[in-house]
Amino acid sequence: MTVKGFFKSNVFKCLVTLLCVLLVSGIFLTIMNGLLAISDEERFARAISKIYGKSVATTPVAVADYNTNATIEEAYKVEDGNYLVKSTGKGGYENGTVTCWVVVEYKNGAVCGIGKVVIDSNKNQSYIDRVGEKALNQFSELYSSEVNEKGYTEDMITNATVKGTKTAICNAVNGALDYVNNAFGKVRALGERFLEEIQKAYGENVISVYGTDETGAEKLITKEDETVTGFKVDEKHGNATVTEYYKLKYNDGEKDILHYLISSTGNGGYQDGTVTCRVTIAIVGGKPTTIYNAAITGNVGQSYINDIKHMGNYSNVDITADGFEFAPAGDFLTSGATKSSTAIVNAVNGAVSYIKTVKFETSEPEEPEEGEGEDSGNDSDENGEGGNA
Amino acid sequence: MNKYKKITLDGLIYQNPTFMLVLGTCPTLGLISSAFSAMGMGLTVVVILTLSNILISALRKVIPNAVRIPCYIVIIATLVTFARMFLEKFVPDLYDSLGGFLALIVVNCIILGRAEAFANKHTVPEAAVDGVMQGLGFTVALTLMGIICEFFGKGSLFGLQIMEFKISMLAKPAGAFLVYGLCIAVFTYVIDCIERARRVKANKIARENLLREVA
Amino acid sequence: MGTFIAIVLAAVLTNNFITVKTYGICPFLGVSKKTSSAAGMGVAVTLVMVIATLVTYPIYTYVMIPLGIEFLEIIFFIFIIASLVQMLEKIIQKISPSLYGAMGIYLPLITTNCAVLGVTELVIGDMSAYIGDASMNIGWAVLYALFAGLGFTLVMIIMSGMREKLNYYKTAKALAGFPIAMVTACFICMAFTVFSYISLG
Repeated sequence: MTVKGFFKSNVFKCLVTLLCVLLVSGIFLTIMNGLLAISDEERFARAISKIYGKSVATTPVAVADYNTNATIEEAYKVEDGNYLVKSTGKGGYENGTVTCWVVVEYKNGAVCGIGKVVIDSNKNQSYIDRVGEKALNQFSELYSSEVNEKGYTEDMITNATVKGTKTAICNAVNGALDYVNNAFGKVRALGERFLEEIQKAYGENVISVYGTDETGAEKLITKEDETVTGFKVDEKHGNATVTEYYKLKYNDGEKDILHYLISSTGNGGYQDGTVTCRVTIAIVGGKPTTIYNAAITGNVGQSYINDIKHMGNYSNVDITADGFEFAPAGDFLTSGATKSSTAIVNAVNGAVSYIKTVKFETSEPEEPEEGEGEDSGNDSDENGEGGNA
Repeated sequence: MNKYKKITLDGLIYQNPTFMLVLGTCPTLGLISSAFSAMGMGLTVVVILTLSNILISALRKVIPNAVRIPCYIVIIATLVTFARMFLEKFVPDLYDSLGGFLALIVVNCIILGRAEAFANKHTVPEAAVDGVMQGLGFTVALTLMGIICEFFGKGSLFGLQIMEFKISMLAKPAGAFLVYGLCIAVFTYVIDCIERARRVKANKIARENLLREVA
Repeated sequence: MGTFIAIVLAAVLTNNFITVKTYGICPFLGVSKKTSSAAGMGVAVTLVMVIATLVTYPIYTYVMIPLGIEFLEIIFFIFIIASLVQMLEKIIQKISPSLYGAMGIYLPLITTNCAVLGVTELVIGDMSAYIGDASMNIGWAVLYALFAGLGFTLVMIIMSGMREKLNYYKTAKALAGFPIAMVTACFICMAFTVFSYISLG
């Protein structure tokens, strides 16, 4: 075959066609690859958002192990303040492990809950499929300050019948809790966290809080304080125990107003548990006048405590009437947590009943104010003191 | 327009790639455990099949007969690669749930089969309609089986939990085989009955016409 | 050694290509009417799977990744497989006409067999589920391809044996052909779930 013949032959035509098709495809795909390429960051963000439930920005943080039963693989600080920890729990079935992603909720320098637990991978756990979402959700439902200290035990998690696997998951979650607690939880002094928490309710106004020192004498609480103690009370008032109080001076821009921060634990909660509230009461003219606000600070066994949405009902309430008492929980219940609400009402009523027994020195600058009690049940920056005599 | 009606009916019923021709079985069996992935695979195939049919039909006079199969494969592989990039970028959920079967669309017999049997003999519009209809036939069949398998196998529909009762085996390959087999049986049986009824009716009309003529 | 056993068990039994991954179903349903043809098809597929992996794995790791053209993998792989199959056909025809007589007719079908493209795509992906902590290399890749092919052949032979027996019985008209074959396959799959209980501790 001559050269000329080759160029005219079918073989040449076939080759050219095939090469053309290949070339066009290659060029097309290269362009498309450039246009549609997914960066590593995007890929990572996608993986994280799948675990987290929504897309969030994260920054990686250094990992360390504080718990012998778990290994922390990766950890990220999420933009909303929480931590996302990848933790491998030991002690599973046949000495296997389970790796979980744990969302550790973090607020004001302390762990305040478990947001979500997602199983990432496992070794030798053939029944891992039987651990459903229901079982994993219990980690966030059962979270309490006690759990934060001692960790979850496998008896707490029901609905997951696989013993070994459950142990490994519990270990992984406990490992994540220990890690966040140890690595980030204790960095800030208790005093700073305490003040920050109180400050929140007062907006930008300047406050100074007084507690006691070791000897029981009055002392200004500062950000550097390692321990914070209030004035001891320990009295029973109705269905609640008032344990301690702090004094607080709040400047509304013109003058100082004295507030009492009363810690009161109400009984009669869900499964005979209790709810502890911090009730802030304004003292005007040597007399308790209004509840500034009330906040939940702790609970025992109240699994629905996060559903409580009516704490605003305790804000700016005039308590000057004799024998004032909040009505039973049912009256302003907005969630299904009836029992927990009962305990809260008890706690607040206990605090009110306590404050009325206190004798105030009248050395305070006395100047009864003409305020209008128009604020109805809302956290507001203004101190709505209404209805003075 | 009768031509297009025939193509449509062929794609959806008489030459339904899943139930009648039993093509593209690997992705079918692998993905009908979830209605979402089954439908996603079906729609991906609709797009790829239509585009490949159009391209191959347009190039049918240019490509020499000897190298047509390699050319078709390259065209299909290009479309699949493009689909993979597109899904990974814009529909990552579907990309994840299709897994390895996305790349395997290249060797899906439906696409190469339509290229060889239809697209290289027909005009571009006909090939396009054929691609859409065959693809839809595939999609409808997959979605149908996906719904059955997911409902009984996982107690959910398109990922939405409906009931606690479930037969896990139906969401596994074993169940996929069973459901697919039974669906083919039911489909062919129904088609058979319809055909027979139509034939009986046609015979009757023919006989009546004959009688009338004789009379 | 542990990795070796893990790969063999996973490829043949626990993650069998047909019963678990549902790859390569077309020949599984189409060429399983007789045991002899099923075995021929199985061996041919295994052969092509091994050779294809042997070629595509190094090309992907040592050529495509350094060049940054991983996205062209589908085109490359399918092209390599298609040409391999063609070459293999010609070589077998030349060397051993008797072997060609037994296997040759299945070879052209193999190009569009998902199992072959499937295995080449699998070994370049995440294999940690099979090899554990060991690092992936061409040896494991080819080993996996070989035993995945053998697992495929095993199921093909089981299936053909059952279908041969089925021929002695009368089946309902609507069930004849593919439907009854799929119901049979369903039972094989169910039997294979037993192997998912294998644990290497």
